Amino acid sequence: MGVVLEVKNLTKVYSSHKGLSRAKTLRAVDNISFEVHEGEVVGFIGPNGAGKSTTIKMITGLAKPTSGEIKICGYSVDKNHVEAMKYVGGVIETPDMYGDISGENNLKYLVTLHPRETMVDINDPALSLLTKKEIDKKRVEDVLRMVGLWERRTDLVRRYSLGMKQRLGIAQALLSKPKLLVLDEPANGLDPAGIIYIRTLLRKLAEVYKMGILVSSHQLSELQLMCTRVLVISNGKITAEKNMDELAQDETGAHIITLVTDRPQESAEFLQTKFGLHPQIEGSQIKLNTSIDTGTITKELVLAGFNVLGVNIEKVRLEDLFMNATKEAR
Amino acid sequence: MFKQLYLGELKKLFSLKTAIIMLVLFLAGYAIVGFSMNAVSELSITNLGSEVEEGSAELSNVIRVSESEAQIHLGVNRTLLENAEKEKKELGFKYYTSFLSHSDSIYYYKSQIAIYEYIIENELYDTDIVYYDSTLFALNFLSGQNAGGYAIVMLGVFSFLLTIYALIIGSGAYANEMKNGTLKIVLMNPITRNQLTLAKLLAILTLISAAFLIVCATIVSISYGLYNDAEGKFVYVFNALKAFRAGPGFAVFVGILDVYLSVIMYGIMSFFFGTLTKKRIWGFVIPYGFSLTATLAGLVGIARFWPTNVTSVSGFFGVSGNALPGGNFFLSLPLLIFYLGGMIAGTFFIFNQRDVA
Ligand SMILES: Nc1ncnc2c1ncn2[C@@H]1O[C@H](COP(=O)(O)OP(=O)(O)O)[C@@H](O)[C@H]1O
Ligand SMILES: [Mg+2]
Repeated sequence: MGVVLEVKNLTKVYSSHKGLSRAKTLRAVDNISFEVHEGEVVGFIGPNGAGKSTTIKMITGLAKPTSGEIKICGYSVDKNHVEAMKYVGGVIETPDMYGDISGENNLKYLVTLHPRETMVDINDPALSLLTKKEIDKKRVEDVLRMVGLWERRTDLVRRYSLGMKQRLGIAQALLSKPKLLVLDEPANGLDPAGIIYIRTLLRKLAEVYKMGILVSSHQLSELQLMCTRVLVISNGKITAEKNMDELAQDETGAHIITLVTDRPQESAEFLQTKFGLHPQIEGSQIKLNTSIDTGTITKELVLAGFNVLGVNIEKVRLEDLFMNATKEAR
Repeated sequence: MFKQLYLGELKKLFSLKTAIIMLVLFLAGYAIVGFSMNAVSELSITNLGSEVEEGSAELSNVIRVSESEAQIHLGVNRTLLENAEKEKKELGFKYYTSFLSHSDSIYYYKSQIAIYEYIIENELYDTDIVYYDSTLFALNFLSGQNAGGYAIVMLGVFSFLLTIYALIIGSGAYANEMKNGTLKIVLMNPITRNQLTLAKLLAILTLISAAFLIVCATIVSISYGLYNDAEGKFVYVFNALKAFRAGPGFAVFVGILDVYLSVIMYGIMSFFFGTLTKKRIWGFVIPYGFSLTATLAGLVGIARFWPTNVTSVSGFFGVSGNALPGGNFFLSLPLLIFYLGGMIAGTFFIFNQRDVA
């Protein structure tokens, strides 16, 4: 599998001068190294202030590294900037666009900044006959449809909801058919349906177009279902790195099981006496933190005459990983 | 690619709303100023006429001399020059300080000498010679109700609007995109930062030049539509060194040049300071501050170096004109290039170094 992003010994030191006081320095990113391969969705997890955005800004050439090297598809972001930028698209921190024009016009402007060769697959004879203008027009329509904004394309961006702006940001990032897509907290401000939409979209992009995707978040639950690998960053350092299938394999530990039954209070008491558990009751839901198999628990409940209306299982391994890897920061 | 970048910047910087507001202000202002100017000039014709009758034509920039008078004037001005130079030596640096910006007397006497030398050389005796003085000229031009004077006065009045427009365009070019965060999506493309700065710079220059052309074309065509050109033998003096003859149109040309250089200076200044501070308001306020503090610069004797003063190189095509104490075309021009070049280079440099997000 080809490497689309190579980060080596990357460091960013911020120095802030405040008035006459001595300049304070902050190692926002501290000697980190990692790779992203094509077709991979890599989660970049860390608490607020861990250095996720700073890393992503350096990858996209917006911030200058203090030291270290970044290569996109083999091209150095610093030394071969223009070439490197042909293969990357992204949304950094907030999906800012020109508010006084429509979403479509934003994209129509930005697409003109991409050279023809990155927009067209040379093996596609149908596209190679089109003019740059026609290719641009088609591409704008494609990405707008991809993110589900086609119907709202003529609305002014400042009238968009945050979720729509996130989608437009992703559409913008996809304009050049990048090999590497970097998204900084794309789930911010999205409703659950929006998160599911983005999750599905990103997986498809990785699968179909073989894009390498780096997606950051401070919330595990968002990443758990879409990533193939996670990197945990804390205090500017990468403190853990795991493949998701590895995680699934050494699944021996606990789950968080959420149950909905017809009589929550009584079922909780039943579970306590039967399994020695300490269920928490939240409204009609019962939450259990246990390593006992879910099947056994529901079977026993049903046999005891309870009506089990819903079951949700959350693996807590990633949560554990995250908590351990960021312990120091807390 | 660069063409797309440039066109994009042009679209971003051009606001139809601002352009229309400026245009309305210009036309409304023109109607008001034009009307009152007519009234004023009619008044001044009567006043000036009576003054001339009384024999005090001090305000006039018309010379009419016989051969002997020319020689006398030449001698007197040479003596005055010697005295002024002596006085300058005695004063030392104080010579350059002035409470209100006044013109350089040495420069003035040298110009007068150049004129009389020109008259004698060409034997232009007993005939009306109009010499160019950027302040007097407009007044006298006006009182004569002629095209050139009308155009010069109007340009002076409306250069204010052009300055404001240059400040609006230049100050936000970088600062706005920084504030809105849109710089991120532009820079994430296969372009270099220098290309983006260049595109912005060219877009600023294009827009302010377009505004300038509209204003100039309107003023000049109305002026020449309403009035005829002034008549007479027009004499200009280049940098107090040498007199030469040109038509009244040359006066209009130097007036236009003056306004253009000043508008460019404000546009580039606002781009530079907006970029440096990342705040549009400073891109607006600092250049304006330079023009407001030009008087203070005069107080400490550095008026001739002041960024907003060095743009008035047209003053060096006349007598006294805008020549500040110690002023000189060969000082102003290099300084002008230095300031503009420095600020342009500075903008490229800052933009290149900085983390934009
Ligand atoms: N421009 C800046 N100047 C100074 N410090 C900064 C700057 N940007 C970020 N930081 C600091 O760097 C650290 C990492 O920030 P960031 O990368 O934004 O974290 P994250 O995106 O993981 O929440 C934080 O402590 C933040 O305050
Ligand atoms: Mg962040």
